[in-house]
This record gives sequence, structure tokens and C-alpha cells, in this order.
Amino acid sequence: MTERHVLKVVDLDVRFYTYAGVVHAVSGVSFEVLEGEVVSLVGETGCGKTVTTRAITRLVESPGRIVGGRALFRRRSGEVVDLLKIPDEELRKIRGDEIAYVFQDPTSALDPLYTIGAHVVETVKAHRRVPTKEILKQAVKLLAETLIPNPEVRIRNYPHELSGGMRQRAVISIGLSNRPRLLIADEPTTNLDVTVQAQILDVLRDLQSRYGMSLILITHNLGIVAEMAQRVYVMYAGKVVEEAETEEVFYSPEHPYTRLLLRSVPNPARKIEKLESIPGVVPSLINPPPGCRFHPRCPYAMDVCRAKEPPLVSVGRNHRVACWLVNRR
Amino acid sequence: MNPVYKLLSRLIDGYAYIRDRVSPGWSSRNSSKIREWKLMAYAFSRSRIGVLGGFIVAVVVVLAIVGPAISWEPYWEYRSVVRPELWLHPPCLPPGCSGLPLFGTDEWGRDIIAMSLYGFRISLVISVLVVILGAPLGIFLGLLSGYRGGWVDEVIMRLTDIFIAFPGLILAIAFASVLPRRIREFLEAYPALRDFLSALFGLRPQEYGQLAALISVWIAMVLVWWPGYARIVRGSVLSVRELPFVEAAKLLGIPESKILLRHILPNVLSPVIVMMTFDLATATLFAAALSFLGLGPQEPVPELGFMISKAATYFPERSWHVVIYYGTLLLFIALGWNLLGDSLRDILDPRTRRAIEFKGE
Amino acid sequence: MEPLLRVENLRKYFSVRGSFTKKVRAVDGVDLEIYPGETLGIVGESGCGKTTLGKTVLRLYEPTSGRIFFEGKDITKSRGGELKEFRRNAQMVFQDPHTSLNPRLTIAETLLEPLREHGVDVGNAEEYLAKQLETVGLSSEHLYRYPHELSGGQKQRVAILRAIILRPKFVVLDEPTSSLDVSVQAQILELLKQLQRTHNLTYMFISHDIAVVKYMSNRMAVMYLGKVVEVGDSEKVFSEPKHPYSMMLLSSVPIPDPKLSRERKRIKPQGEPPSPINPPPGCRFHPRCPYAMDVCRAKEPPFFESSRGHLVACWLYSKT
Repeated sequence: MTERHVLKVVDLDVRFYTYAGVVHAVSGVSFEVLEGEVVSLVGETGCGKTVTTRAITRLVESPGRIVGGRALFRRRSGEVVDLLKIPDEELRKIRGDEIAYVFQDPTSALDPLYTIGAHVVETVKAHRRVPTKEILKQAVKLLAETLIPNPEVRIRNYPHELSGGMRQRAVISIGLSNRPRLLIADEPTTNLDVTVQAQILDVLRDLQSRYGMSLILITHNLGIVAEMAQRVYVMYAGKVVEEAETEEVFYSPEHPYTRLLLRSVPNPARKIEKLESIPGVVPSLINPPPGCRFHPRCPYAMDVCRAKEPPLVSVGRNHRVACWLVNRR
Repeated sequence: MNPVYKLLSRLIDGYAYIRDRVSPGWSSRNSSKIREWKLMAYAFSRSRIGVLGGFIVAVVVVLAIVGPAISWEPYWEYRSVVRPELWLHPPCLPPGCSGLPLFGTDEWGRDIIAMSLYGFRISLVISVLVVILGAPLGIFLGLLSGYRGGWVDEVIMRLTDIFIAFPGLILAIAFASVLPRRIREFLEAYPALRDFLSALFGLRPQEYGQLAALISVWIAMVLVWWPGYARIVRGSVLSVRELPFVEAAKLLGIPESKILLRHILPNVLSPVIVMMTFDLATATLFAAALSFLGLGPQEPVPELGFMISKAATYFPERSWHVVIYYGTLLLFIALGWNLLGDSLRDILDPRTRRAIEFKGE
Repeated sequence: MEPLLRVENLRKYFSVRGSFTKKVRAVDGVDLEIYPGETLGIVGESGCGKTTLGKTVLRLYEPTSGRIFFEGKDITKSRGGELKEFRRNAQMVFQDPHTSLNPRLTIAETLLEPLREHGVDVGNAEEYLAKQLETVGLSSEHLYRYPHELSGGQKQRVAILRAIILRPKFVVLDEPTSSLDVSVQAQILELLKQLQRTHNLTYMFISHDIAVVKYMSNRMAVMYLGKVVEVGDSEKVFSEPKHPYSMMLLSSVPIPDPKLSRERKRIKPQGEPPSPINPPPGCRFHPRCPYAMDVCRAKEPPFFESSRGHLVACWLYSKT
């Protein structure tokens, strides 16, 4: 864990104990985020990206349980703590103050009985002693930064008086009210219109560079990844299968899943193309297939793939892949 | 694998076997349905209150069915005329008193346990009849109201409001003063019907006068009962009718009646089933209450509420055993249905059904 | 060539609750033609009326005014037998596979229903359905299952099969892959293309995912606030949009290619999307349009032909 690291997750393991069996939602996931970086976790439904980011701050509820791993976080003070081990009270101080979340549905993130201003006040007062009037003045500035028109009016609005796009911007403002070191945005624009999405991504980028904040962006939309991220972690069935800088992932993908994924997404900037589909379906994580979890769907599967799980190996600068095809070299 | 689940699972398998014999291949065609039933059985077996409620209900139902046949004392004999010492005799245990009923006797000198065997039948039949008629009426109106909307909805809902606002007790009193005579004349004209209904309630055809009182109570209850179903169904219909599969059916040209029957009704039934279970408890108590007030059958019919009513005159010195015994029976019947209903509500909601956690190794 | 489906000045208004006069003008005067065998894509943001258009065209909603022509016949007010005939020929695939199948019916029952209703004799139902399932990538083992036992992709395949089982000529696809995973999406899109070839289908493909629409459609129409503002060849409309709104919309589409994404010129959206209850006078887009002129504030622009087959509703392209 160097000075430039904000977050370093090592070997995270999360399981859900359900009536149907034990779901291995996250198995040995490691990733890191440096100061001021935008990192993206990409993958489809069920790959574990959401569970991973919630597990970091112990937001996993029964029947889920964090079974192993460490989440090292460098606080503002410089002190490094393991978020999975520190006492509850200390974690509570970090949540909302040094680590903030923005979730997919802005409507359920806002309490319909309180104004936007009240939300900001609550978030700030939970961590610092600042007079309400001060907070509200800051809140107006925050809303303006997220390009909400007439922020002085909006401060006094209730969530239902705002459109979907404005609500999400309000949620971002609330999340940023304590100038967190790390913002975790989980599919922040999935429910929004394309033009609103573009505005929000602009806002995120702008705020992130202005405050030197690190951003973990979770999405299944490869276009957003291409636009926003500096580094990408591709996840499949609870594991990281490839990690690299954005351009590497898009132009020199090594893992078969990454390659197929890129070819299954329509790229409107290219003229005529045929989409390739990935045969089969995402496996159930109750009894993950032995060996590499992707092997049932992999067109290049070999015997070793069916037997042993490939470890992550380096294939270039900052580029690691978990695949036996690559490991043979 | 717990024993309750084992038992239910065997029953389901047995049923599947029979269906297979009748039409071969039934099990493979309905393997999904069978799996779903077993899942429900498992969820039920894991719910302690459900099993308890189910057990109580099973006992009550069995007693209701065989009660009148196995009762060792006929209800129409005024025993204490012949043997005065039997009048409101308190409970006694052997060896202190031999030849005397265990829990005591009532005003007529009848063994109160033997009488309760008739009582179970009457209570069960009347509560089932109320729900069996009230529910479909309410469901039908609720379906129509929720699906059509507009003025149909308004009219039916206002009708529902009127009936809900109506105090059931007043209605029952009104009916009890007017109807029994008419019903009695009707039953005299149709002896076959009279015999059938008497047998249903476990009574002798001679008591058709009391039967008429029972029926008038029943009619009053049905009129008060259906609005609850109409409202609950209407609410569910309002959300189900917006679902895409209903639109898809419309788009395929399926007529409205078939849409209501095949697509809407099956998807609004779960809350109705739960409500019916709870209603069986409520109806039992309500019927007992009406009888207690003298609106239902009179002597010699041993309706549970009526027995308590008669015993009230001598309460608590002489008749405490009667009141406690019949009161406790009513409590158990209601409790059984309520526990069952609670458990059913969790089972029938697909979301809560699957959220049962077990701790693996 | 005669269009398979043509709508003329189609309008669909919804009443606002609690008000007698206020109306949501979801579709507000749309003229469109769809030719046999083609896929017409409809794109636009929330409130533009694309889903309402799809449903109104199929008479799932009754049009407030305007006319719908199918195979040359005016079916706007058809009822009874005529309407049933139209239903046999025009179907829809809905967005959410989890709610577009009746959870209480098995797959077999869901598929048999339309066949029975329209009196189609299929002989041995089990065999027939098993064969049909194979054409959408499923098998007989799925026949007696319930929807909840199938994955999202499989459910959508069933929904597609249900839509084409009567052998319609025209199918409206309303966001058919938006609720599905990325890898499954490609499978379903390929299936749709293949079925179009085999059964000679004409599609109206509605989606907010412009990349997908462009991939699937021959021609693309852009909708804004209940009206079509631009329509033309998909490739052309995307790479050289003419209408200022199209330019704004299409330049906001994220491109899964870091270099191209950076090089692309973005036209930043201005203002907030307005409400379909009170559309602005004149051209609806004028309050947010960087090129708005006086005439735009006063009169609604008709379609102008910017190049062959490429129509734009914008005064900038008026020939005068």
C-alpha cells in the first residue's frame, strides 16, 4: 500500500447463505484505487461488482457475510485502516464523510419527507459541527456545481418536485457534501436519459478533478467506461478476470470474456458490424464450475481450464489477466 | 428433513401417482407445479406457527366431520328432567364420581364434551358457508370493479362502502326477526332440502325451525362479509391489469372475460386465500356471538355461542365449567385458523417464501 | 413500394388526473411510413412518446385523432372481426420479460392461448410447440415450465415466440433487450434478425439505446416531445444528424471506444427536457436550440427533405 493508494482491497470473499445453497458472490477479489483516479468495475448482472463495493464498508446484510479479505483505506489523516476490521463507530465516521456512495435509483436514495437541503444538513452534521445556515449556503454551491438550475430554490424542494436527472444530481451533491476522498457510484446513470447521462458524467468528471477525489464507477455500459475510466477491472462470476488501463482493455483485451464482451456491444461509431454473442448463460454461483468459471462458455477452453482456476498474471504494464491461454507463455 | 415435510411430500407424491394413473405423463408435464407445491410444503413445515395452526385446524375439521356420528349422547334429550342431579354438574375426576361426565354437564344434563362434538360441526359448517358464498361474490365484484374502472368501479365501490358501513349486528337482528319464519315455510315445502341441510349441520330434520334461524344468520353474515373481498381484490386487480402480460393478452385478441379469468384472477388470489383463512376464524366467532345474543338457533341445538349464552344465567357459581370449556374451544378454533393464515400469507408470497435462510456448513 | 404501415397525423393524448382540460400530449401529430421487410428504429428520450406511438399504432391505446393504415386499409376504427384480423398480423414484444409472461401459466399454456383464440389447428400441440420453441433457441424441456424457472433471456425468447406464433407481418419491439444482460442482448438481437429473414417480418424497433437501434434498423426516426423531428437512413442519421436535437442527442451516446470517444465532438445539452403537457409554441425544441430563429418561435416546421429519403423538421433546412 503506497502513498498514492486510497483504497486497496485484497482477497475479498463474500458469501450468501440462502435456502437454495451457499452463493459465492465474490471470491478472492483484489483491486486498488489511487489518489484522484477513476477506476471502473465492469461486468454483467451477478458478476459481484455491486456486492464488492458494498462489502468494502460492511454494507452487506444477512444472509450475506464477508468471509475473508482486507479493505485497506488511507484516511485523510494519512492513517491506513482495514475497513473490514475496525470497530463500528469508527466505520460510521468514515461512511458519508470520507467514502460516499451514489446508487442507481436516486428516488430510493432520498427520503421523500425531507427537502434536499435537509438531506445535506443531515449528512454534514453527522460528521462535523457546522451551523445549519453555513451548511445550507454550502449546499447551494454544491447543487450549482452539479449544474442544477436555480439551486437556491431546489434546496427547499422535496424529492418528488425534481426530475430523475435532477434527483441524481442532488444525490451526488449530498454525497459530496463532506468532500469525501472516495466516491463509489454504482450504475449512477442507468435509469437516466442519454442526454442527462452525459451531463451527469460531465459533472462527475469535473468534480472529481476539482476535488482530487477518487471515483469507483460501476457499470455494465462499456461506452461509459471508455469515456470515464482510467483503469478497468473486468469481473465475471465473482472474480476479476482482467485488469488494465482503459485503452489496453479496449484495444488489446486478452481474456476471452473481455474480447467477446467487446464484440457483443454495438459500436455506433463503426459502420456495419455483426454482433457476436456469448453462448450460454452466467453460471449460478451456488456451485461454481470447477476450474476457470468462464470455461463452460469459453470457445478456447482447454483441459486445464476445466480443472484448475487460473491466477491473475501480468501480461504487460499494469495489465493482468486470469486465463490459462495467457499463462502458458 | 423434518417429519411434517416428509408427510406432506409423501401426500404430494401420492397425488401425483394417482394423476399419473388417470392420465399417463401427468407428472412430467406438471413437474414444475409439483416442485412448487413441495417448496410450499417445505416453507410451511419450517414455520412453527403454521404447523401448530395446521394441526389445530386438522383436529377441528376431523372432529367436525365425525363429531355428530361419534357423539355418545344425543343432543335432543333433556336428561336432567329424569336425573336432576345431572343439572349443571361440575367437572369431576374419577375415582370421585363414576358414571358422571368428565367435564360436567349443562342445563339439560348433557355431557358438555359430547355436545361440543355437535358444536364443532355447526361452527365449521356455518363459517365455511359464509366464506364460500361471501368470497366469490366479493371477488366477482372486485374483479369487475378493478378491471373496468370508470362508473362501474364507482358504483360497485359505493355499494361496498354502504355494506361495510352497515353494522352487521343490526342487520343480523333485522334478519333474525323477519327471515326465520319465511325460511321455515320454505323448508317445509322442500323436505329434501330440509333433510340435506340438517344433515350438513349434524342436526335432526325435526329441528328445522332452528335450522331456519341458522340460515338467516348465515345470510346476514354473507351480506356483511363480501365487501372485504371486493376491496382487496379490486386493489390487486388495479396493479395486475397494468402488467405487460395482460396487455399482451389484449393484443392477441383475447376477449375480456377470458383475460379476467385466466390472467387476472389467478394473480390476485393469494391475498384472498389468506383472507379466507382469517375469515374462517372471524366468522366462527361472529356466528357464536350472534347465537350468544339469541339470534341464532335455540334449544336444543348445541351451538357453541348459544351454550355460553344459556350458561350465563348461572355464571359463575354453577356454570363456570360450561363457559370456560366452550370459550376455550372457540379460542382454539379461531387460533388455529389465524395461525394457519399467518403462515399461509408468508408461504403464498413468492418473495417471502424464498427468503428462508439456512446456515450451511 | 406501398408502405405496410402508415400513420397520418396520429395523436394520442392522456388526461391529467384531477384536471378536465390538461392533457399529456404523448404523441402529437406523427406521420410515418414503414415499408415491408424493413426495420424502422424509433429513438428519443423519456417523454418523447416512442412507447406510446408503438402501442397506439397497434390499437392497444385508442388514437385521440389521426389515422392508421395497414396494408392500405384504414384500421383506425376497426372493431370485431376486422380488428381481430389486424391483431393476427400485428404484434408486440414488450420490454420486461419478467412481467410480460403470466406467472401462473406454463410456457405451453401461454403459447397455446393465441393459437386457440384464433382457431389455428396445430395437430399434436406438444409436437408443434416443441418445434416452435426450437426456432427461438429453446427446447421441449421448457414447455411445461413456469416463467420464473427461466432466465431473462429465455423468457424473452418465449415472448418473441408468442408474438410471432400467429405469423404476423408486423412486430413492434419495445425495448426488447433493455432489461437483459449485455451478453444475452446480442443473442436476442441476432435471433430477431434471423426471424425477420425467415418469416419476412417488418419491425418497428423502439429503444432508448441508440447504439442498439442503429445496429438493428435500416431507417431511424428521432422523436422529441411527441413529434418526429428527423427520419432517414440509420447510418446517415447517426453520423450526420441534421436536426439540432438529433445532434445533441446522438453526440451524447457513449461510444465503447476510448479514442473515438475522445475525438468525438460533443454538443452539450442545454436546459432541461420540457413537459409534454405544455409544449412550447412553434418548434418544440426552440427553447433549447442554439440555432433558434424567429420563425422557430412562431410556427411549427414541417418536414423538409435534406437529402433523398432524409427528412428533417427544422426551419434551418427550409428551401426558401
